[in-house]
Amino acid sequence: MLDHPAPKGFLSRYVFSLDHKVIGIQYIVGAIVMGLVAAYLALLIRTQLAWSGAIQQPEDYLAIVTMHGTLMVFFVVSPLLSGLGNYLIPLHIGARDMAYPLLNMLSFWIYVLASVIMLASFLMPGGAAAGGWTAYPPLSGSESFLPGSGWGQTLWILGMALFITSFTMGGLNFLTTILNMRTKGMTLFRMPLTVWGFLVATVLALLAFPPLTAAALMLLFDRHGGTSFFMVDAVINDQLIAMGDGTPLLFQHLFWFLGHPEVYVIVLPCICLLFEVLAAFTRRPAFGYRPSIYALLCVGLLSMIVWGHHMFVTGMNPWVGKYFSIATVIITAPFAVIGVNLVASVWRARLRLATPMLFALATISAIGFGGVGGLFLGTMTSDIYFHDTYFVVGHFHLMIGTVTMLSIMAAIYFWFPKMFGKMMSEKLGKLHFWLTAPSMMAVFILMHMQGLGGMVRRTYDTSVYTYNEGANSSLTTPITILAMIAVGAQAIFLWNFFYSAFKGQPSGRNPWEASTLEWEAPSPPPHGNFGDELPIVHRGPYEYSPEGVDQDVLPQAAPDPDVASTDTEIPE
Amino acid sequence: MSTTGIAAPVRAQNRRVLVAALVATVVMLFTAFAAAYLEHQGAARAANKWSPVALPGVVWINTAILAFSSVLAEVFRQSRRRGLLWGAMGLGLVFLGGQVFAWLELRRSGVYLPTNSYASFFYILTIVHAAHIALALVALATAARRPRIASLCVGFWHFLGVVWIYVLFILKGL
Amino acid sequence: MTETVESPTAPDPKPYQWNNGSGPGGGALLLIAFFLIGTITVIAGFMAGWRPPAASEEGQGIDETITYLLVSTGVIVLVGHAVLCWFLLKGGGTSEYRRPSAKTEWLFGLIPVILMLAISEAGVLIVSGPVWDSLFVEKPVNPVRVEVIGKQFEWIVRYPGKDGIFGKFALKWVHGVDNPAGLDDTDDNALDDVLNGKVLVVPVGRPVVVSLRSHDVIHSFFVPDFRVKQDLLPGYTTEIKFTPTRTGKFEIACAELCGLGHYNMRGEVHVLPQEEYDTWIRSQTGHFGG
Repeated sequence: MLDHPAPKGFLSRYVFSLDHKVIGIQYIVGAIVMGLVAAYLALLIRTQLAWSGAIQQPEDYLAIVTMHGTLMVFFVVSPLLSGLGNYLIPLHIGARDMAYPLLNMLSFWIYVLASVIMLASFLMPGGAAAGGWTAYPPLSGSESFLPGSGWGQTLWILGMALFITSFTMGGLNFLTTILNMRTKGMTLFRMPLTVWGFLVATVLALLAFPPLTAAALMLLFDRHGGTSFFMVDAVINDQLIAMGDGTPLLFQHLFWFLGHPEVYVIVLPCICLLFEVLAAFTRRPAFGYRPSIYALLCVGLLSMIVWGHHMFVTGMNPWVGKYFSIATVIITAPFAVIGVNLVASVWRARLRLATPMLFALATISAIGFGGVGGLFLGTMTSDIYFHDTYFVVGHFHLMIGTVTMLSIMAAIYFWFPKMFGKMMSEKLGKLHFWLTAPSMMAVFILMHMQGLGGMVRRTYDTSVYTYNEGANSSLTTPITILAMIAVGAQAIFLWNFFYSAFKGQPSGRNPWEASTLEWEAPSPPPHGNFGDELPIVHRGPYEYSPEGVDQDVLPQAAPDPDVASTDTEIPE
Repeated sequence: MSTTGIAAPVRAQNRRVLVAALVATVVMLFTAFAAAYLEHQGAARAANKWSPVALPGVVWINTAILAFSSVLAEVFRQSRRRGLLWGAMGLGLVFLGGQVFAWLELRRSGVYLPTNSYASFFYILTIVHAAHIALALVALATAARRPRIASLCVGFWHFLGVVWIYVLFILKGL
Repeated sequence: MTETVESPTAPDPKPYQWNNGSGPGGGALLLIAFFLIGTITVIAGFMAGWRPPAASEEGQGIDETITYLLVSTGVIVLVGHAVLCWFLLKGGGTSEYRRPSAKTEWLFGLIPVILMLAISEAGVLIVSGPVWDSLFVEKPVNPVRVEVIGKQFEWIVRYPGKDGIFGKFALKWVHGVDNPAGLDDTDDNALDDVLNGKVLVVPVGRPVVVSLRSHDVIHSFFVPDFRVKQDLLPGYTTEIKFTPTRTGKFEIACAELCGLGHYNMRGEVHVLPQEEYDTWIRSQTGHFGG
């Protein structure tokens, strides 16, 4: 049935497993561990801002800010999605495993190694990297500018290189699996939107990461090989330090050529899986399946050609700036299509407000606020004002922090029964939701307001500037308290997750009465996922409330009912 | 259980997608370097600081060796005579040796990695390309025993030959 | 991790069952309250004027863009949330459900495309285009030219002095308080150049063109009251323009992370009436006494 036999020992079953389901859960647990570290760092940042003069020195603060960003983007949210993708893709498309299980396992363990190296950088002389998660040279290029730009930065580059390797390996696997391993009848346009989201995200990641690899390599050469790709002569304490005559802006171009698509790599699967949750809990088909897919492809394409909107104030040619602005705001159009489709999916719903649905609905709201915030930053003149203020911090935390976390929570609550065969507690889930969603959104929306007041990001002590007095600083402490609530509430989730994994109520095969293929498999699916025969797909993914059939839902794998359905033939 | 799980045609298709995706990432990598090179060249020329270094002559011999290696690999792909593959791989090793010789040659003439940005680009491009060649040699070695992946490995070998021409074009033509 | 090996046919022990009778209940109302209170608070909050009033012509232009976007996207967010709440409240009940046709779905795809393209491109091209051009494309009329140098972690302001020409400089000449800007003391144009600590003094009502350069890493020159911001790139010279509209003291912040003292890299702009500015600039002597 499978390339690899069913595992026998503990090591091959739970540690060095080749099974996509185990690797998926490993990724999720690993990301949760890193998430706890990163969330702790977030609280340290907020503590410093609200009650400054505390324990941290500026060098600690900048290292904390840098590592919080790096860990959250690359070591928490990305691997959470690697985990979900690993778990869901084969089940969604009716495959027994990933195309390359060994590659899959290596990808996870390289991620673990990368995480260890990243965390170890805190122990280096000079501390962890402190030049921001964007690591702009020259600041990140030499210890003489910043203590964290010593060994901490070198380990940062090494950790990132390993992460890119791991993510690329995972991406190759995702792409191959989605394109080739679909079961009979699972055409591209019958794939659940989640799989579409992963497909587009994977292509983006494979194309966008190599330039970052190039940039990291060049930065490494600048730091240890004496080259001057990005470094420029500088004067420090009246000493002229010859560093050559490189072009610092080049790094920013290469970084954001990755950085912007990376945002979509993270966000697109999160948005797409909402359709899945919405359909199951409204008992209606997801609205606009095909338009959403085309919108998704447009977003993916556009995201590759708009990176310059991160650089409006760097002194780029004004006509180039204009181009980037015009191109950037075009993205709002396909995004609006997806947004409208999400809202319209709730139309005439027979609502079942279980925890996953609560998270999904709140995510729609977050997408709304986060999406329009992007317009302020994509429009070139308003960005002159908002660039590097808390508006940016609030905006990207809303998109790649809140949207992703709420949506991933929806996904975890939704697919948890499939993963462990147990239900998570609904009561605790709802408590978790009501503590998390409002506080998270409040935190980041209030940050937008501080940005509107011109408060500059990455500042150790904001009280240096008098313009921060009054409105701006009055928000700092409330934000910190709300952030503490948001982080603290995750304790409920952790308890719920690990307790329910062992002691939860048995879920049965299809507790949500959902339509896609993974619910055909037992919970948890055995080695090889499906029984002796792979399921055959007869229709699109969201045939809820089918017309002319006296049934609540027509699962993808169910044979046709007596009444003629609109979509019966099985393409090869 | 044996390795018969995934049907052979699916396996073949998997390998094609995998190699195509790898090719795409390598293309993006070298495109990024080319863009960086152009950016540097523009800035340096504007400041009258652009000073290309004469490439060591051995580079052209290396090019011929790599081309001949590709030819051998291609004949192997069609005839499946393993000796040709060993020949192609041997020439690949000679190419790597030749590249090392080129680096030493440049070093002897006083051109080091940090000497100027042209030299930096020469070294970084050739080193990254050589790393890919080294990995591809490992892939070719496995192709000898697994005829089903031979075509793809040889194809990837040709592709790296094209990348080498591209690297030369960046360094000499742009 | 649990490993309940389950054969495909075995019945589940007491499996979870969705209780169809429960309906959305109070949860939906809570959600609706969350969405509506959230949206209205946000819009009210943004409209409440968090910004210090703009003190430059360009700043007023940028404010117009911000206001345009606040209003247009505020309406979108409000309407979107209202519709979502209405859907949640109304629900589908048990009445007959007809699946929206493909045509409807495409139509609902087309409307947001047209709407968003119109709103966003109008924002870029019509509302913010002229401001952008006035900042970076058009040549300023009769400007005051100043240079601001960024270094870890302070600003140095340089005026061209009586001859109106900036003298030559190079990093190798930078030396403590003797020559903080790295001026060439053999260059006649440099001898009368005026250096002025952390305070940028400019007249009101005239365009000010600030040339920016850095001695070490990337900094960013940001005056919140003027709404302008421009990076300083080591090895390069960048420029920013603003036209102060009222006199007073404003703050310069560094907006790009530049090291440990980034948070403390505070400078000031003093905007004086033209006559006072003239008196002040005449009273200044060149750094090398020229």
